[in-house]
Amino acid sequence: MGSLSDDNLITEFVTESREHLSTIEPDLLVMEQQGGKTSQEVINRVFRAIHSIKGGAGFFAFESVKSLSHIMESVLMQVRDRSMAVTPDLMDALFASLDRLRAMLEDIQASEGVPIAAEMARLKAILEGGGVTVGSRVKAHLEGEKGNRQFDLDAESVRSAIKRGMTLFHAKANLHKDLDAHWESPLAFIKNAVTVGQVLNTFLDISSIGSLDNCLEQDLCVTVQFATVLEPDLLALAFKLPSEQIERMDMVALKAALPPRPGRAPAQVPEPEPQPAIPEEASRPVEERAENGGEGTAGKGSKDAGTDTLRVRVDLLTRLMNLAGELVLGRNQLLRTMSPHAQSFPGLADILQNINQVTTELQEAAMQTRMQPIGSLFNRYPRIIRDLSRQMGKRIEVEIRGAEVELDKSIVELLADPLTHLIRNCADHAIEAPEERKRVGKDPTGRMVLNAYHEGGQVNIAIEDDGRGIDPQRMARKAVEKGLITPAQAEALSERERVNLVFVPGFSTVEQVSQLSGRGVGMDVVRTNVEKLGGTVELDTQTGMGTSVRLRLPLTLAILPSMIVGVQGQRFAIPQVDVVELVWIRAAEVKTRVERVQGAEVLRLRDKLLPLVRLADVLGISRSFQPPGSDADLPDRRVALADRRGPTGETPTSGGAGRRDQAERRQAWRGDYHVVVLQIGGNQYGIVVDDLHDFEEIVVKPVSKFLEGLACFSGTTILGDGRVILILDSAGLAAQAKLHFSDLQAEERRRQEEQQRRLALQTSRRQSVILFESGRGERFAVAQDKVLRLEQIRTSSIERMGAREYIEYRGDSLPLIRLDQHLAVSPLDTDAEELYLVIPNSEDVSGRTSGGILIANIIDALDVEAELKPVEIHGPGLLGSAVLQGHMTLFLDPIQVALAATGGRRP
Amino acid sequence: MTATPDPIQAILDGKVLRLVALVPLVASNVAAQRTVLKEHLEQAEQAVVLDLGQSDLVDSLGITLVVGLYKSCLERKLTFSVAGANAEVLRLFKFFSLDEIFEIREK
Repeated sequence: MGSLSDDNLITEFVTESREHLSTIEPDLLVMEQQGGKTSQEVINRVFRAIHSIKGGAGFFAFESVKSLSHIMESVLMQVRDRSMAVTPDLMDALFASLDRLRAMLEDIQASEGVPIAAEMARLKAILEGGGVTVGSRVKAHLEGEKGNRQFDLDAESVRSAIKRGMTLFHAKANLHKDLDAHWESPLAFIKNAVTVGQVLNTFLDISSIGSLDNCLEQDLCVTVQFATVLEPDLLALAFKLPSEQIERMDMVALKAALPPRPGRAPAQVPEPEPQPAIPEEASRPVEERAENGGEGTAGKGSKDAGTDTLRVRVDLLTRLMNLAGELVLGRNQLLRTMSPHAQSFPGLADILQNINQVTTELQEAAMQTRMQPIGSLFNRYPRIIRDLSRQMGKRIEVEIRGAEVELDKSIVELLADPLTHLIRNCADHAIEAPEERKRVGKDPTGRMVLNAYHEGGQVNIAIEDDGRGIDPQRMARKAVEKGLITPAQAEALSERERVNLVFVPGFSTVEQVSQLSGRGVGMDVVRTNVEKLGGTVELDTQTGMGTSVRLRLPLTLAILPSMIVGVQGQRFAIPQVDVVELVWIRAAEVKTRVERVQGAEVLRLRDKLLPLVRLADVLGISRSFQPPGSDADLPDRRVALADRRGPTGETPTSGGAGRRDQAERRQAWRGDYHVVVLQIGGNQYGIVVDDLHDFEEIVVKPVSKFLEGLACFSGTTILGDGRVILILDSAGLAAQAKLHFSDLQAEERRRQEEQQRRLALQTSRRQSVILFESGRGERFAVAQDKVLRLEQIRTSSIERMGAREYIEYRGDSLPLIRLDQHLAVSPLDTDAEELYLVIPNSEDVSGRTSGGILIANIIDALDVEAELKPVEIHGPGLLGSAVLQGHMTLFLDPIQVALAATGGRRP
Repeated sequence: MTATPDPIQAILDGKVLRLVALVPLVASNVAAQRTVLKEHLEQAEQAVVLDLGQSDLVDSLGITLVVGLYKSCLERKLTFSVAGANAEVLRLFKFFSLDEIFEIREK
């Protein structure tokens, strides 16, 4: 057993080496991208980092780490001297070796147990100029069938698959019986296959077909030799094949049959150099060499020889942070206790102010020590994306912005899993294959941007892509198919809500389970994890154009500016970031401003319906009230909170009027509503509390393990007056109260449409309209004063970008609107060569029209006197119907249709 | 009433018979395509090129039709190749290793 000082030195070596690895990986990615044009600076940086690892490993006698880093260094030396080309094989070998080094550093004491022979052999072969043997084959056979059927496979592919922990299988599928029955096309089967593993060989048995005469009557059998990490039952599920058609290869025999790498015997690797006495000094001669070789600069990851930085243990920083938190609590208590006496003792006010200021600064400085740039996390992803895109045959370019933005170390660590999931999702589902991208006019290389930036005292992390986007209709359809919502609920959802179905537990639109994702357990877990960090997730998508997922996070979890509220004498803290506004409704206004929708209370706030929940009810605290003129607390048994009387105080005629002769308690100030409006993601709701206290900086303490299961609370804290209170979790409260935002928004939309229809009915009188036909002769009418222009167009001049259609119109591109995509009406005839455009009389701020409505034919322009009647179908801009010229005609507001279809935006 | 367009157009270029698929090689078309292919195949003297430049989809039955055509060419000692395959069709044929049986040229 080593001494304490040895253990400390080893810990330091491992920490330093891990830092080196984190700098090597992005540099290797640069080398891979730039090939022979890689700058000397980058190569030197990798070289120096590997050399430092080798030096330390040699000093502590970690032989495997030393040997592998030594041979990597030898290869890199040749690359630096331009005597070895940067080839894909070389890069693969370096990446694989890097992974092995990382694995060894995970548990350095067990590093000798990590197998490195394959990586060593590969690098040796490269050093000797032999490279990997292209074209060497290996014979494989099925488990338990030795010598019976043999399959000839590429040795290198097999070696690579085995190295990645894959098992080889032999699958049989009939083109018609298996593929046609379960897959949209054979290509869909193939695309799925490459996402769950590696296809090593395929064979289509065409012997059963003699000629054209009998070909269509035959079912061809295709055999696939396949490597995957999936178990056989999961593979059968992923391939949608009966399990008896999938057989495992004999892996033991296969490994034994693999031919050795070339040039294994006469290894020309230079002997390791004598190791320096201490690891820090190991880098010195190498750096000198590097500088001689070119433009070497001080290594990014090299130990700081100066005095401007110092390595400190994280637990010490955490303790410092906790102590600073305790000091903040002490300061709060001190100020609360002493402030009333500040005038009585000369100089006390100054002392208190000083302590207040210094404590704040100390707490901020302590917080800073734990801050870590998000780049430390972001830098992991280019490698992950590289591996994923190779595996899936995609091309993906990654851009990192805002890597210097800092977050608390604990947040950065907890973000790793959600971000990894989002990025895998993006690579797996969002970004299309190069062929598909070309077909829709996109660059074959997909683009992913990881962006971090400050906004409103919080940190935003956005993952943006230019992939296929999320189709709201498809989401709704899938949610109904999976039984997550009813068709009626799906119909009532807005596009945004449909897209947000992705966060519903168990939701996945992926037809097949892939190795990467598609099990429907992803996005809800992402949201839950981010919410646990006090953050929110927002999703913005445009079909065919791309998706942006934005995480909003607090800078730190330790100190939280919060609003203190009171219910029945108990206090609770609400994080300030969740609070949108405070609304005070006087008792006399409650009746007019608080309404009921499906039995639940809602507040009409600036023409929006805000769901209300009583904090006391959610937390199970008994409500009470004090009758006018009394201090006695009596139980408040009201179910409906809204006052049933008007502001004038008239009372209902039935039941208990006698008891209400006195001043009405619900008209008194105690009947006022204090509403704290909270934001969770894209939704808002209000909680009704008895009292609003101060905003206070609170120090977050973890919630007791007895309360861990309660979603309503995210932590505890101690107030300045010494009392311990619970911190409320806004999302947890909403869940506990079973708030259904979609019901409310549907109600809001229903009311708006009702109002529009009422307005239309009121104003329906003699007017000039343009009568036109859309699909299948369905007739529509629009008021002439709402139409700017009617244009005839040729359908061949329509251009498509993703799912959207445009036409060049007066030197600009005008989005086209098809009525059937927004209303339940028939589509236009697809064979039509000419169509007409109704251009609404609306212009945006730049003076451009928002879109043109495609119609089949203009029938007439006439003055009519029609009384509009409500119609069964709903949709934007639909005013009602009337019978014109003997035909049922739908009256539209073209401006509303265009605004709803384009969201008021132009490309 | 309009006539259904011919699913295959045959162009005889010297001794090479170019068969241009005008509609996708999918279940709904293959029966008609087989009939036309059989008719035109009689004209071929040396080589047959199946041109998929105007046909961007091939399904399972489409594959069997191509294999059937290849086998018929083999019977008649004609060289067979596929031309104008788009990236997806090429990927499909390569997956089934058909590129090892006959020549496939990309669009």
